[in-house]
Amino acid sequence: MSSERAVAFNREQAVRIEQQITLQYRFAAGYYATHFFTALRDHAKILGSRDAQGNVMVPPRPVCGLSSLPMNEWVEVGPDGVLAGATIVYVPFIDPMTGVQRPVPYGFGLVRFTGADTSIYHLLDATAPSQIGVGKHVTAVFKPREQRTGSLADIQHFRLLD
Amino acid sequence: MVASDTWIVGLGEARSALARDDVSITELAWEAVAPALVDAGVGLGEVEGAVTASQDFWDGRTISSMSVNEVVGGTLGSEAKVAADGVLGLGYALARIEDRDQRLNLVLAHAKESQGDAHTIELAAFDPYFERQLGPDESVLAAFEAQLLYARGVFGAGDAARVVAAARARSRVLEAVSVDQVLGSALTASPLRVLDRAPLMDCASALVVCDGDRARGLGRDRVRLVAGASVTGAYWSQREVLADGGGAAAAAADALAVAGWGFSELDVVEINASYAYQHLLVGAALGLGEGEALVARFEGDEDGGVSVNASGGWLAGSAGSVAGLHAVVGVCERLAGRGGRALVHATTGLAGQSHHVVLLEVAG
Amino acid sequence: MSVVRAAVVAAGQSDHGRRFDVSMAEIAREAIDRCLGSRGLGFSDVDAVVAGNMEMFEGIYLVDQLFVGALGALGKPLYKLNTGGTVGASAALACYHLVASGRHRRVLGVGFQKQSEGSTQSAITTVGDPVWERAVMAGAIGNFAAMASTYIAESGVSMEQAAKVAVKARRNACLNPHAHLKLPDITVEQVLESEMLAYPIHRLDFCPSSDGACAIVVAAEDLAGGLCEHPAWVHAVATAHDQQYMGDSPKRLAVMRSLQAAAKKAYGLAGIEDPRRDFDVAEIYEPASYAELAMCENLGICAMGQGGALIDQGVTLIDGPLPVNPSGGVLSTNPVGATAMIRVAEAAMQVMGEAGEHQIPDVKRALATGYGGNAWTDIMILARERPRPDAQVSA
Repeated sequence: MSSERAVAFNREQAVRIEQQITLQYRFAAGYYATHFFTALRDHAKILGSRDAQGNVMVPPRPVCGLSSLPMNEWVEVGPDGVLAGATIVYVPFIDPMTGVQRPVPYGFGLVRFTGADTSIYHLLDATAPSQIGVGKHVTAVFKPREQRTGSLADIQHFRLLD
Repeated sequence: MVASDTWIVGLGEARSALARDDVSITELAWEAVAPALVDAGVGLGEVEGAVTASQDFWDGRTISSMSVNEVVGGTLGSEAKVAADGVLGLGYALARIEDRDQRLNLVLAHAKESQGDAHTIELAAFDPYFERQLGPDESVLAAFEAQLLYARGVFGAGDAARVVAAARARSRVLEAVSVDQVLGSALTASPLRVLDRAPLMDCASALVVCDGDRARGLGRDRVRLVAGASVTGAYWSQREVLADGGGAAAAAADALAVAGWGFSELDVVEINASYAYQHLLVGAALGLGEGEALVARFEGDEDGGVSVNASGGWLAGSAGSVAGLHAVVGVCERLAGRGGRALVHATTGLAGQSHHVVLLEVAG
Repeated sequence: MSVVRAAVVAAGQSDHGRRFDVSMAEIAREAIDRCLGSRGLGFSDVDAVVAGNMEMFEGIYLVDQLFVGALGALGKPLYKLNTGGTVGASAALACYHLVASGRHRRVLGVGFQKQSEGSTQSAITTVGDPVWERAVMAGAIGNFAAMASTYIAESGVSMEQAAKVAVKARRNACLNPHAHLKLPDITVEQVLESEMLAYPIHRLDFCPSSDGACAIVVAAEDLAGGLCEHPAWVHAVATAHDQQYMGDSPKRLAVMRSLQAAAKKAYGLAGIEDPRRDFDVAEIYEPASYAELAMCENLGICAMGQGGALIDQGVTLIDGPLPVNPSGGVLSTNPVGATAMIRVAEAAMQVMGEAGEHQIPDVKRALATGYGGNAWTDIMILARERPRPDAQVSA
């Protein structure tokens, strides 16, 4: 009976209340992120956290969930890496940082820095599927020092090396 | 009803403050979890299940427990999050332990109230069809309730101010305030003032909870989690009567029935709500007294041997989702060595819509 | 306190789709009324309620406190869970624990979501960590496409094989009165010609965004038989999450750590040695066509790398040896707060013999999985046979 009602009660009849809520937040990056982004901003270096078992995690964090051990050491990784996953995006998304629609097509992928056990998502300098692939080598392209502010966007994107 | 053989074997808290800009949510949570594990004498890898409590809207994150998963043993392990006070999470952990399959649980509650915009977040809890366009937040609803309570003639704004002053006097993190300062603070929504409400804070509290065999094996069978109960109240505009503490009384009665205790057998009662007037409402509903006699309880009068909010409760410094577990930690610390029976009350929802109660027995 | 055995004894669903005719409370009630009504139960017969909804989707904070009446939770304990895509299954697992502990006798589980009411992509963006992940996120589709690329590299699965999964799902959905997307004439060619969202995911490879609700009742063993002719007994529940960030699991969906860990736990508890042989039906949480194949591999329904062969051989078709998602799956219906509970409900309906036109004959054991968050997993195994009194059920 309700699906009949749904058909009868069509889009034009339904009252739908338009509302917008703007939620503003101020996220504290914390010790590990601050350390990472400072190195990225000031020295274009990528750091990972390491535990006593030798697991190296990017993003860095206080505890490694796999080993249950604290991650008390810092290790430099990258800036080269390997693609663990990659795609070309055709559907436009609003860039949450700028509010502007990202021009399509663009490359998006999972990059595992040399020396790290995990990958991070970032943009790829590619616009066609033939350019990307799991296992391909990439390197981080950093923005010039004066444009780096201490965020993931300090890396412009990753360039395919092969 | 069979008595519970479930024990709190470890406690830990992060350093709470009006703003912890030095830590991420993950780090704040670890600051509570790490000492709780040390206290219990167990490692993170030994945790069999975790229940976390946080609110997505306050964290600004869908699935807010993602931030804390790795530090509670959730990696390749079992974690579930409740969107309520941590005391409800403790009730879920109790069920998971009592069905005898996940015997060591970590319960964590966290909130970084400094990071969000309280007015808009609270607005988002109001009925989107009939109420939101008016732009209310929790202070408006609390004001309706406080008005009604004061109009009944038993309590007034001055009594609420005394509750605040008494709580602040016991606080380890907030500065003391006088009754005059409370009554002189700016109006938010009449008759309520800024200091009528607990300040927003960044907090995290963690408990390690396990079955009796494990607790005795660890030599940590000192705090028994005797019973838990929860009563969900009606949404405010659908309630017949506002400013009614009935839910708290019902939750307390349910828990006491499971425990087989009489109310008079309690040594400690901790009432947790964000507004001062709610303490009077709940205190009266629990039968702790009326009028002056009840207010005096909050100021330290232990008539009949029951201490009420000796820790100061939420008004002395805590946060939504965390207040209940923070009170549990406080009770355990207070009664360690002395022993005693405690009732910890907590709330979820706008202006304390729903009530949770846990009963603890601390060995002397 | 002795462990109480528990069963799913009733299930109900709304008509999923784009439901502009009902509010959130009404769609939840549609499922709840059908669930309770099927057994002549009312709200007074329920001791506790577990609810699942991802509130940032519709933008309602404390949504459970707003809709208390509709959820039947007035005066009772209400556990509002919030674990993302897995929430419907996490809620089902919580219902199980509450009953198995002996403290509650009949627990109502409800999952609900009205994705048409909010900005789904914005809400999904907030799944990403605000400091590390949000700036570059490309929605759920970018994430799944990247994961699909890893899976293809590991398994060699083709776009055609993935498209066969998409076809199976939408055709099965035609036998399910509640499903959202029903496409009786869908073909592999249509899937491959549909708009490419992010390589290699076509529009028809991906799940819809739905409004819907699902409700179940879990009851204690002494009540189960009186409520239902063939209760779906809970033999195993397992949960496994992963690390904190989206790129942490090296092979993501291709080698899904949490699914393997949860399956290992659950199979051990339920005595499953060969899932392909031991299950009669599976309801798996597959947000994209590739995901179903990868999950079948990680669940041991076929060997690793053999997902493509599995669908080519027709093993998982509705009339195959192990039907997967006879309901149409997530590919046909996805109201996030309800979706994982729909998997449990559909698996339970199969065991109870109440799946109507998509009933698989003679179901003795059914598998239900939930997926969400950062590749998190919940598993519930249901069966006709009552578990042994001393059996361990959760881990």
